Amino acid sequence: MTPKPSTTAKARAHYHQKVRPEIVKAPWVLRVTEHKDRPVPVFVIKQRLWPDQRSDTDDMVAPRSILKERGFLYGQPQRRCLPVLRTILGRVNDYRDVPLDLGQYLSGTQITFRDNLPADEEAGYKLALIFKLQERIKEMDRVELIARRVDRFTREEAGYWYSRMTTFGNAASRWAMAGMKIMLAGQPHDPHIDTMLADLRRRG
Amino acid sequence: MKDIIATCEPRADILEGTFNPEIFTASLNAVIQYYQTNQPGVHSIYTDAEQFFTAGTYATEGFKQVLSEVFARLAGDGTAPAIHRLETAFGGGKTHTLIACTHIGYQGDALKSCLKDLVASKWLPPKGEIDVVGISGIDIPVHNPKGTQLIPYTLWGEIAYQIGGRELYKAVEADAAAHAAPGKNYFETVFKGRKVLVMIDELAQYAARLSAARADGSEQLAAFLLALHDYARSHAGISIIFTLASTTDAFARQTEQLAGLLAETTGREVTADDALSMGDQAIQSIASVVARDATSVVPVQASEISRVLAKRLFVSIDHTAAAEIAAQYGEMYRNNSDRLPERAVRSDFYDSLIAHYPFHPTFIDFLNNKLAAYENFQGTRGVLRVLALAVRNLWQKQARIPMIHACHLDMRNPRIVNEVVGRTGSGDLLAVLNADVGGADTDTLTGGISNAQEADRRNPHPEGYPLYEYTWKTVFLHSLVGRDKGLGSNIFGLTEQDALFDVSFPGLTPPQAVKALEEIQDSAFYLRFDQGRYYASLDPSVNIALAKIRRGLQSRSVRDLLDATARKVVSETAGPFTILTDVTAPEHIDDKTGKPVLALIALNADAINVPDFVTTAGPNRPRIEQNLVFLLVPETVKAKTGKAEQQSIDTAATGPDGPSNKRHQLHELARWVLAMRELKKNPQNYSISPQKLTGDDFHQRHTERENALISRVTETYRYLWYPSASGQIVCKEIRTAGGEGGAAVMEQIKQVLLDDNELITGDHTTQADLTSLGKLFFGQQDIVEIATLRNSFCRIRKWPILAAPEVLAQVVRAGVSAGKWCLFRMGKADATVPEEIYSRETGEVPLSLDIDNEYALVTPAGARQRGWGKPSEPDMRQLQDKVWDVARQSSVSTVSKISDKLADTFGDVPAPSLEDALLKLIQANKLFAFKGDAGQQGKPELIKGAGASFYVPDEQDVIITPSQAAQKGWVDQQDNTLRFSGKEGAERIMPLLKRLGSIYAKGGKTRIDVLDLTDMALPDGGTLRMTLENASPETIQLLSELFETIDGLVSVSEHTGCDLTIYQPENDCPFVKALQKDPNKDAS
Repeated sequence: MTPKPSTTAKARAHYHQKVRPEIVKAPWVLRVTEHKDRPVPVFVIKQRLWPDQRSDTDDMVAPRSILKERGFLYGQPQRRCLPVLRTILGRVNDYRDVPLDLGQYLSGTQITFRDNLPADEEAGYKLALIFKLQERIKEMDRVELIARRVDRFTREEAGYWYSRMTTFGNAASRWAMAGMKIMLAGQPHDPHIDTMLADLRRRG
Repeated sequence: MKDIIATCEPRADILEGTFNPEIFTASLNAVIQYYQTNQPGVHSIYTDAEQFFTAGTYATEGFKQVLSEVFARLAGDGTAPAIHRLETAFGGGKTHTLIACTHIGYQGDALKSCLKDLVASKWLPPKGEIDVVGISGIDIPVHNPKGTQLIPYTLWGEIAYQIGGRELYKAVEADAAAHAAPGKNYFETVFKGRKVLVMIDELAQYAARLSAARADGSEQLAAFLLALHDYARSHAGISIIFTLASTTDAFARQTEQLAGLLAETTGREVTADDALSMGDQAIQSIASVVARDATSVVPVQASEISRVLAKRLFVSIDHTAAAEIAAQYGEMYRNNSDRLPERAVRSDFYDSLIAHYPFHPTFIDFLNNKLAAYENFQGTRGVLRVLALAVRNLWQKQARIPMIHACHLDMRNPRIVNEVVGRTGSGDLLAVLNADVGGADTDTLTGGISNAQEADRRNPHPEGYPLYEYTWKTVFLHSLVGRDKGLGSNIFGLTEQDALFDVSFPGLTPPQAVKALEEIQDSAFYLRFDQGRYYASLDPSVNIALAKIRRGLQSRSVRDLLDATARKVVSETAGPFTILTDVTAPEHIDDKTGKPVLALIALNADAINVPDFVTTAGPNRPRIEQNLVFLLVPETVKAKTGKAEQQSIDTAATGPDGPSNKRHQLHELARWVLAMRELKKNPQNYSISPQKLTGDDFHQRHTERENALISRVTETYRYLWYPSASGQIVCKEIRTAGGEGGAAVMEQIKQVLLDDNELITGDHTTQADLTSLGKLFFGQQDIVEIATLRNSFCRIRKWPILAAPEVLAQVVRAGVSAGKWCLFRMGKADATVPEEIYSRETGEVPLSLDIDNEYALVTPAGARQRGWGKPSEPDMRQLQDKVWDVARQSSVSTVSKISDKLADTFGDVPAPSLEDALLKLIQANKLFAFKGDAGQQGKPELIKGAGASFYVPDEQDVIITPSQAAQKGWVDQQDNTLRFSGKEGAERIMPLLKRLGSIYAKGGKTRIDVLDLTDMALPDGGTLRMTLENASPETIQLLSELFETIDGLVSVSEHTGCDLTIYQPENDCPFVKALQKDPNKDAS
């Protein structure tokens, strides 16, 4: 039998004391969960919409912020991106700028953690970009290439490209997405994917 | 093989370590001093004449020649040359010869006992008869000394002083104190009436100093020598011995020493070059004089030097063993002659092997020709010091080696290192020694072992010799000299041939040494191979840069590289599988995809529990399609099954082939590859010029390592785990040649699965395949839907998998054609008879038919039962023909074989039909059957014709054609034997008994083989038995009365029996006729 999913007591305490309080205010949240008919775990990246960003609050007295799903990642692509995801999340700090050390929740051969993780603007945009861009890409090398190259974006770049993909209307977003895929990962079966990937890995 | 420990015995002081190498530095002056003042001070081996001649001297030819000629001359033999000049290329033996002369000169015939072989006793002078003059050119002053003590400061003054003391000196003082050469008077006064032995050591040095001190010094010296020679030649009783220098560049090896002496003489600084030119000038003038007059003698020839050395180091050497060992060397050299220098196989080298024993000639050559070229090494004295240390070290370690080579110098011993490295001024090369070869400070390095040691660990020599260390050490030692000129110098470094020649000995062969030399390119930091020579260099090298980069690599990038390589082990498009990489947990393998999954477990997965992967798709998620999981597990991962296998795999984990060790090896290899990539990208960061990389064989090495990584990772994926047809989760080993990646591994996997009947391909349509598939399909019931079949292939672990989804359709079609099952579709819900049904009888399933999930399979029997389709009973007439055909083709066969053959060609035949057909054929005598063995030779009981009425064919029964049976001789044309037996027989025979004689008298001609009548009742009780065997007709006639009597006497009771056998009854014989007549008819 598979051992029952359990995080160690220490990690659980860390989560409850340090990580959970951050979630309420975090602009992005990464949810680690399980979906029926999808390999476990499923990563869902959610963006927080503050009350003033919501368009459906007209008849509400005291509207609250809500979390809106922006992308999923599971299965083989998730496994391929995991090292990069860990690095991205590893850079998330708490309100005092102390690293939250979130990478630990996604490490090990088997991810047993099931809960929400807070992400700052930079991490959130990057995760959302990766989750969106990897959709329907069959070659895992290209998925990894996208993840690694998105990881090298600055916060502003990530924000800018994310907005290109989401806020300029359906057609424009679609084109932006297609363009980004080519920009970051080339065409399928491009012989240079390997070299570029090796180089990125070498530089860490 | 004998070793040096067994064959040689070193001197005790060498073994004890009390040996003082400085004893070899005694000079002539010290011995003269000893005789003149009787003060000991030099090692006794030099001052004690007996010890000197017995223990300290190996008498070489030159040595003997000098001694006997000198003393013959002194004894008055005018034919012996008066003047000798000692020459040696080695700096050894000159002083030794002079000391020997000194001893004999002073002690004369007192030494007779120890001079037996050296000087004829008639030439030995009485003790004290000879005046001995021994002058060391280094010690004699050239300036007028200050003070009251009388110290002569000219050569001629010193001679006079040594011969006659103060008195004689005073007598010739005018000449002796003048710087001009003395005249005839001086010689008359000094030498007249005396027997004088004059020995002048290091004359060239004196000449140089003299000319440095005074402008005309050397001319005057030459004049004096000329006069001295003249006098000596014309007067018996005077003998002169010089040592000058053997070569024209007398001071080439001693420039520094000379410069020091000259600076002292002139009182100003003298550079080495100045000193050299001054020295050359000075000896030019005297050289011509000396060369003209003196007989030059070489006291120690090159071939003798080892004997001399051996004499000084060993008490005894077993020379027969030496010849034996030299023969072994010779054999090794002959076997490898193409790799070694030409001289290795020459016979004179064989001799020199024996002569140099226990030292290998290359070692002595190295010391004499290479190291001794260094002034500080002090020529032969240095050689002796090194040898003494080496011998002591080897005996302490009890090294079992056939001969002592340069590579046996223990470079971890600080004293040896000091002698060899220190004295050659190569202290900076200690880094090379420590990093590459292994020296005293190697332990302090990162890692604690040298590169050669590491190579030895990786690839240990079968007999335990440190192969790499030996070889690299040899290269290092040969790089100590000639470094200033680099490869331009012909003593710097050594060629491959020479290196092999130097290193190899019986037990460590040249091909093995080649391996070690090749490794230099790959892993040595400082040792190089360039322009055909191996040498050490401190220049930045590719290997140092690589080592630096390797250390600095992040373990994450190493892991990334390994993961990336592992992903290429199986290419994603190959074979029936969906390929998944980086798998570490069950949830990484998707469930319900309908396609077999080949999951490559990640190299760093540590340990996996295989049943979890098969039965679950994550925590608390049972897997539905359990038959589709195939795990390719690398050796770096511990695979557990939770069963007995676990133990065996666990125990393997700790060995050298254990997972963690394998992982370590892979990481090392990946580091190499990454370091090479980095260096190729930015060589300038590591002080390597890009040209060096292109020029070097770096590119080749890089490619080789890259390929090695791929093949090594591929090989690592060795275990294939899957739910097999047996129901167990099994592990099969995959062996690839490696390096090909993708296709090769996939082919292997396919082969393994095919062998295990785990994979169904389009080729699986033979009878046997279809039969076993039929068993799978119709396990419980005789009807199964296609959709269920598809699911079962995915889900039931005992089932094989389909190579591709379309294979199912192919198999179904083949099964229908072979009559294994029928394919049908019910169509409407209210139909009771299928809308479509395909069976063997209806012919093949149309190719255009798309076998989708609406279809189902039914067994032919099931279809018959349900009354679907045509009656499938084959026509009996037709079947008989088929059986007859099949039986005829094979002529001898069993029932089961015939049944199989029928199934192959005509489809399944129900067993009862087949039996019927067979029976009919047998009864009609078209075939015979028997119970036995198809190949048997003995005649069996054939079942045929009417005899087969009650025969029920069994599967094992043999069916044979009548013609075949006839060929074997099993069929009698007509079997006529007449037999009657039992009660029935008695009833036939008894009525005839009385007439038997008359029947035969009337022409009975049948021989009765057996006639046995039993239990015939006698009138008054009792029974009679009569037996007749092999009775001819005549016999029976003779017995006619007996038969009549018996017939009259006995009566037939209910027990009476008869046994009659006639093998060849004659049909026209009246007896046979009578027998064949039915008695019942008769009665009626």
